[in-house]
Amino acid sequence: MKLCTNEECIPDIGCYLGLPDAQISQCENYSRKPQSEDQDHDNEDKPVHSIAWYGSTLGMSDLKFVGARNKPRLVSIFGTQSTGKTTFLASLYLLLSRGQKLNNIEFAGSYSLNGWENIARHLRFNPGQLTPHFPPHTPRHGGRLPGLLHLACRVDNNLYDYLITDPPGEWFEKWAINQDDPTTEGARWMAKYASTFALFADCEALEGKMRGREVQNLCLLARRISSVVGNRPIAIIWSKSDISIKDEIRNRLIREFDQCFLEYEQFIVAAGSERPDKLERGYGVIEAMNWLLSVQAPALNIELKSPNTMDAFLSYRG
Amino acid sequence: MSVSAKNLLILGGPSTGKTTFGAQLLGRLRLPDSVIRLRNTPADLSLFRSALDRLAQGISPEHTPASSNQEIVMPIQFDNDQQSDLIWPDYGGEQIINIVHNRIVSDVWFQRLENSTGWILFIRPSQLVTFDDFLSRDTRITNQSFELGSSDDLSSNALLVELLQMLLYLKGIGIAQRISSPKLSIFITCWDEIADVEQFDNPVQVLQKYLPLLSEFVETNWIKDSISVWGLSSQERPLETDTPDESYVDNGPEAFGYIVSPTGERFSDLTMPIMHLLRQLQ
Repeated sequence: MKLCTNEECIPDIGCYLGLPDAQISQCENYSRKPQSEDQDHDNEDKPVHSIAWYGSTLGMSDLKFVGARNKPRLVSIFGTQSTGKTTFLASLYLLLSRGQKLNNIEFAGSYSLNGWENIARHLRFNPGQLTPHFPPHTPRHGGRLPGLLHLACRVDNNLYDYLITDPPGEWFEKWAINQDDPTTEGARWMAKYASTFALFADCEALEGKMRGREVQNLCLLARRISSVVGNRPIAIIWSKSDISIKDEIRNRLIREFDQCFLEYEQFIVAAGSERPDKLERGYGVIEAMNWLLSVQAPALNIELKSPNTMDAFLSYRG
Repeated sequence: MSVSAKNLLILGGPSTGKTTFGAQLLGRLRLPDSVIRLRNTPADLSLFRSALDRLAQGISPEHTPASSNQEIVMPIQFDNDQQSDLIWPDYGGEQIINIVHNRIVSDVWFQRLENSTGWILFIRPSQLVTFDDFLSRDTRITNQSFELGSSDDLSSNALLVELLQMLLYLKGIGIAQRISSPKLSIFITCWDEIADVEQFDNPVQVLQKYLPLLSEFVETNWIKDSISVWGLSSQERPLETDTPDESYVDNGPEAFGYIVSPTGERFSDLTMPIMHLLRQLQ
């Protein structure tokens, strides 16, 4: 509706004839009645359009949605408790958030941004929290499947979707001992469907008093993985590498890995380095991730059923 | 000649300068040397009434109420004979935050999204939610782990990526191929507030510095010619809420404000980034 019959006049900017604002409604050219105070709310209505993903770590029921555009690649991360798996993933997100780039792999989005933020928050200075702390043990939440963090990446103009597991470490000790342990369904799932494997070797534990036990546990886990890995790629992540381990220990493990795997890559990582003078924080994370994401690997080969037919196991969202 | 309607989707959280720019844009459209000019008077200017009033008095515009959701139609002409109706929405910026938190959009937003061919994202560096972390500060990391629980408080990097992902999804636009439409303009607002602005050659570098994840997300997903990043200072300098800036009162608000082009050049014609977007939409 035209406010004023005078073509040249824009009353809201100022009356063309120079009338003060208070008198503008008295102008004979001015035709608009005062607005109803309710006008601001005229357009309010019910929210009706919702988003297909929740933002937290993904569960099986989300795979159908993610898989709609692409067969994702599953990066399965193995390692016993407190080996630094979650700190590694949190560091990756924080590094990307501050502009660190992967080689030829561009960040194209994520359907689990809340999930990434939730693990990264532990390593941030949050209001009311004095210092960053290492993320707590990844909880099992009673779920049998690992939480999945999603990354969409563009490589040479092609879009790829990656799902990265953030599993509770306690699965793997049991699975290494007994592959059919009923509480380790998640570990079996990760091993079965992995496109790429990452096995964490915790240098802090391999240096400490319990190193004998740690070497044994790691060897058992490596052997278990070797029975299922086939020709899929695997990386050994030497986590917490700001702590030096004895050559004897490293050599024993390498001999074991040589027996277990035809081929494997090794990465020195110190995501949460406590000796930044030796290895800076975040050390090796990008390099390891570059390899895990870019190595030739099979896409996730899983039959995706309709979410509404899924049981609680399949619907688990960590 | 038929007059095409150009629906722009204005995106920006609270206090990112959407209303101030809208009001200043309107003032510029009346100036003879602007690249876009008003064809005739917009039918209803009440949306910007308060902001225009306050700027004319040399005081800062007020916050747009959270529930406000309206639009103004600006009949414009440019490039000699091109005519268009620029449909410019204005609303309380809280609605943007709520879309991400609640993961739903109202029908008004949905329709606006469906009709939009150009998006303008307002980002004000001083309002960003950012955190120092264990990589940025040399500090001991405590081993005393405790569960923080999940939170909706996302960093701005994540929130803005999520917002764009959601809007693309609702508009039915995939990213398997790089996006050519909608065109995206990013305005780095309150440019005069950026303390270390001298360090940057252009607005793209500011975006990369302040929001690296968002910057990579848009660079990766849009084709190069469909995005542009501008610096914007609608007021040119801070205004008080009660004490008038005499120079504003004397010279008029149209004498103030500037934009910084994607190549880093400064211009007083605030209509330039809109012109750029309109030409992309031809």
